[in-house]
Amino acid sequence: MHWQSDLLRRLSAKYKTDILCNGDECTCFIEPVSTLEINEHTPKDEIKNFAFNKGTAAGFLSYDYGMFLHGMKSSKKSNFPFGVLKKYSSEITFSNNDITGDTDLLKNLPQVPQHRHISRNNKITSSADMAEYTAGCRRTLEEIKNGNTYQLNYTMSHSFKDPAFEPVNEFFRLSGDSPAAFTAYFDAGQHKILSSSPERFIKVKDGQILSQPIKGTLYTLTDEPEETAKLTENPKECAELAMIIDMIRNDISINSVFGSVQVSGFKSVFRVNSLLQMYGNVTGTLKKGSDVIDLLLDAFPGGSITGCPKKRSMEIIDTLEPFSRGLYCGSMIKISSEKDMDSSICIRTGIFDTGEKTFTFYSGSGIVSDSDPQSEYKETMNKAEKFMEVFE
Amino acid sequence: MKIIISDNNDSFTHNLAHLVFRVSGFEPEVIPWMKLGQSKLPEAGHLFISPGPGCPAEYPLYSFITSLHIPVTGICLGMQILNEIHGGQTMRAPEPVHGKTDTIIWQNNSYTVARYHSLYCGSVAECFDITAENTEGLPMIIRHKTKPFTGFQFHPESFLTEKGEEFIRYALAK
Repeated sequence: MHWQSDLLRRLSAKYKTDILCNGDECTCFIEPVSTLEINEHTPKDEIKNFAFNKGTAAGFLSYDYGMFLHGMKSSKKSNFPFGVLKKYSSEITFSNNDITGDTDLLKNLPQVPQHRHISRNNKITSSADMAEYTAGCRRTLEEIKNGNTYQLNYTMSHSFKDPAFEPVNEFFRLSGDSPAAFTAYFDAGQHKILSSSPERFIKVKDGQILSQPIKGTLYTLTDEPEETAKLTENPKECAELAMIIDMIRNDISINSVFGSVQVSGFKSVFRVNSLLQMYGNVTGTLKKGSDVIDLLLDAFPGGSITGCPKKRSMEIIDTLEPFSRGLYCGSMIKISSEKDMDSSICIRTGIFDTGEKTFTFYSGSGIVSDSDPQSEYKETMNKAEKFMEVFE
Repeated sequence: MKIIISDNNDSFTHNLAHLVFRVSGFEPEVIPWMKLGQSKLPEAGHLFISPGPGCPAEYPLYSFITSLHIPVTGICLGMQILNEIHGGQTMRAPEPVHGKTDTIIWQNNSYTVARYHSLYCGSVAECFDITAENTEGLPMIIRHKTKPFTGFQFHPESFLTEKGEEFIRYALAK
């Protein structure tokens, strides 16, 4: 990805800017002109009218909204909105060879802003210690034996208080020189979203659907074929990926032309920091009478962060985790037309709450029948590594 | 032909719908299991009972199927339901297997099939024949001796199952 960090920082210093990347390109959405806050009373048609009415819409849907779509209500309190979509006066897209859009705005930008405060040496509190997390894993294994779930994504929150936290500056510090494919910064009012997600949820281009679920993790610093094989030939890791692929096939099938859904690149491998991860491609064709909002809402939240079957797994998750997920495991979304959108899965994502002055980030792992609770705890902590390195 | 799929809140039901379409050319109607009673079931040419979480005891509404005269196919939990309403029993499998393949011999051919289950038909009702089992002896396909009822413990609709169409064709042919 062509990451023009300094230019983006200067742009953000002058204009209200939300940033959404998708691996190939980064789009800056500049100066919002209208906002739709989604709550439990927002009809689907209102979301469609807002999203499809001229200009690109950018925003997010929270995991809590996903619970609502499945007829559930979290037992925990949350002050995080179900979803926000915005329309903007301008946008600029940075791709490998090109800068397109309202590039006039790149003239006369201020210098790169200086940090007044760098958020470091924070005392980070996690929602579970090793004993609690492994106990949750063992309870999940019991649910698997009873057939209530085949796989379940069990997560932790980590948070610290820092009244001087500067969200935009910290976003660029977190992203560094080589940001994750689905990096995003989004201003949701009281909450500022700093996403460092490597995972796509669903992309639709001219009605062609692509989803790329990620599962299977190996902590290793080399890319030798033998190391890659440790991942692609590990039955547990492959089973996790297979299960999610079957689930995504199901979720996009609801709004796909009958018979159009295919799988390719099963067990493809890529690197995020010190982790190797696997993914696969699931494709389909949007059926007549369905648009990207129908597709997104019927498939939401992403199967890779719930577990399978989705509804029962989400019910169990709500009894396991002592916090409401809020945006975490929801999606950042960009909608350009009835047949065009892109979205991420909000993992490796942190939220700064400007009211509480706290920054919260999350990590988790997929529990399957042959999971070892100690290793799952280790994996979950490994996935928080980057945020820990930056803020602890 | 009208084909109904009863969905037990599963996350693979629409994969089954697409597979049934590919085999039959008919778009199945997917109905939540709680609403199955309100559907025009007797007019249907075939009923599929989807996989799903939990065990058959959680889905008591299905007991009426014993008096049904249309062909019925159950997948995973669906097969366990068919078996239980005819007097069979569901038990914990020796070990849960999810998202992994197994090899079964069926009609003298070898098939790679995807398994997702923690429970299995520990005791198969007398009215069913076991027409395929895996190497551990777990029933993988059951067929009613006199009625057009078929059960698959594995998932024909999974992308890991090779020739999933053949199993659906077999079920629809009865």
